[in-house]
Amino acid sequence: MWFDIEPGSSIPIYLQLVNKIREAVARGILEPGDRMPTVRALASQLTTNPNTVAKAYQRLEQEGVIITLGSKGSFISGNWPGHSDEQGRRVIADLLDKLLVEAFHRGVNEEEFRELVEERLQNWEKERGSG
Amino acid sequence: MQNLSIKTCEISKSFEGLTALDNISLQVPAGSVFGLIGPNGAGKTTLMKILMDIIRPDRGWVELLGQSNRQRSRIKEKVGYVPDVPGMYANFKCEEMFRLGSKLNHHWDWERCQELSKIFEVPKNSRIHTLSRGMKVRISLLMALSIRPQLLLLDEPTAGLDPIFRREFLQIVMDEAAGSGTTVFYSTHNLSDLERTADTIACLNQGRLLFQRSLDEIKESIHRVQFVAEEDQRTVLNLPGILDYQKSGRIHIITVEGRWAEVEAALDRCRPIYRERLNLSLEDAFISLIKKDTGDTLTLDAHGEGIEEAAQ
Repeated sequence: MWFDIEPGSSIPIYLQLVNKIREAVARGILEPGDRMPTVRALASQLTTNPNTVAKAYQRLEQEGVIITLGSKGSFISGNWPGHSDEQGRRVIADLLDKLLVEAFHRGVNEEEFRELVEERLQNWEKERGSG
Repeated sequence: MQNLSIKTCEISKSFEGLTALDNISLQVPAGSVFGLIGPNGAGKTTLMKILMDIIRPDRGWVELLGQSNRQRSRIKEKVGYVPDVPGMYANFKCEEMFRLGSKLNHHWDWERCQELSKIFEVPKNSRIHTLSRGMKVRISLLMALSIRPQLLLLDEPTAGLDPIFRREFLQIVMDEAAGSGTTVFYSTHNLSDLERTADTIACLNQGRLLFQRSLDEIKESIHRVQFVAEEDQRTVLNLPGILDYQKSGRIHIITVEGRWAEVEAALDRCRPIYRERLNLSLEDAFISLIKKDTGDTLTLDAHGEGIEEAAQ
C-alpha cells in the first residue's frame, strides 16, 4: 500500500484507512477490480491490529466501495453511483456550508472562495486524467 | 453472548494493608488486542500475576479461556506469558531453555520455535546470562509463541527496548493475532504503541479500574478544542463533560468528553468568535482522564467556585 497511518491522530485508525481508500478510489489510484490486500497482510504491513483493518473493510463494504468474494479476497467494486441523488447533494451542500463558515473566519471572501473552488476542480480533473 | 478470553470478577488484593487492586471486573473478548495502561503502581503487574495464578486474589475470581481457577493448570498450557522480568535459568543455553519449554508444555511447536529463532537471530549456544535485555525479551516471546497460545499475556514487554526492535516485536505479535486469532492482553506505558495496535483499552489508577473502552470510542468521544468566546469563563467551565481546562490569554483550551455534535452545540452557547479543533492523541486523552480521576483538575461546584485557581 502507498499510505501509512497516523496512530497519534484524533481520527480512529479504521476511519483513516476508510478515508485513504475512498480517496485512492476517487483519484483513480485504485481501480475497479483491483484486489485489496488481505486483512492480515495489511495489518502486518502497517503494524496495526487486524480487527481495526477488518472494521475498515466492513465499513467500505457497507458503502459499496469494495466487495468481498468469499475466499478470493476483497476487490474494488466499481459499483459507485453514476449520478447523484437528493441525499448525496444534501451531504455535499452541508459540507460546503461548513467550508463557508471556515472561510468567513479566515477572511476568505466570496470571490476568493469561488476562485479556490474552480482551481481545485481543475486540479482534480488534471490529476485524475494523468493518474 | 460474546466469547471471552479473560473474565475477572470483583478481584481485590492487598499487600500488608495496602490495596493493590480494588474490585476489578474486566472482560477481554476473544480475538481482541487489549491494552492495559495506568501510572506506575496502579496494579498492572499484580493483575497479570493474578491472571497467571502466580498470586491469589483476596477476593473475586478469574476465568481464562472460559475456565475457572480450579481447572487452570490445563488452561495455562494455552496461555503464553511474557513477564516484566523474564524468568529464565541464567546458566542455561538458549537451546536448553527451548528443550525445557518443550517438556513443560504439550503444545510446544518446534517448527514455530525454529522459525522465530531465525527471525530473532537467537544465538542458540549462548548462555542466558550473557544476553542483552533485548535478546532475553525476544527469547521470552519466542517461548510464549512456541506453545501456539490462544491467549498471550505480555507485561510491559517493550519497556527499555530500542524503537526498531519494538516495532519488530509488535509486528510479530500482530501477525500472531491476525494469523491465529490469538487474544493479546498487554500492559505498557508506551501509549503510541497501544494507539497503533490495541482495539480495547483498560485503565487502572490506584488499584481501581478507571475505564474499559474501545480505542475508537475513546477517540470519537474525547475532543480538544481551543476557542475565543464572548461568554465568560464561568460559562465555559460549566460546559458538560469537561475533563481538562487551560487558558492562555483570551484563548480557552478545553478537553471535553461527549459526542462531537453535542460538544459543538454546547460550544455554540458560549458564542465563540473563533474556534479550532486540536489533535488529541491517546496520551493526551489518557492524561486528562487520569487527572480528572485523581482530582488534579478543577472540579466545579454549583456556584462556580475554584475558577480563579484554574485561571492561573
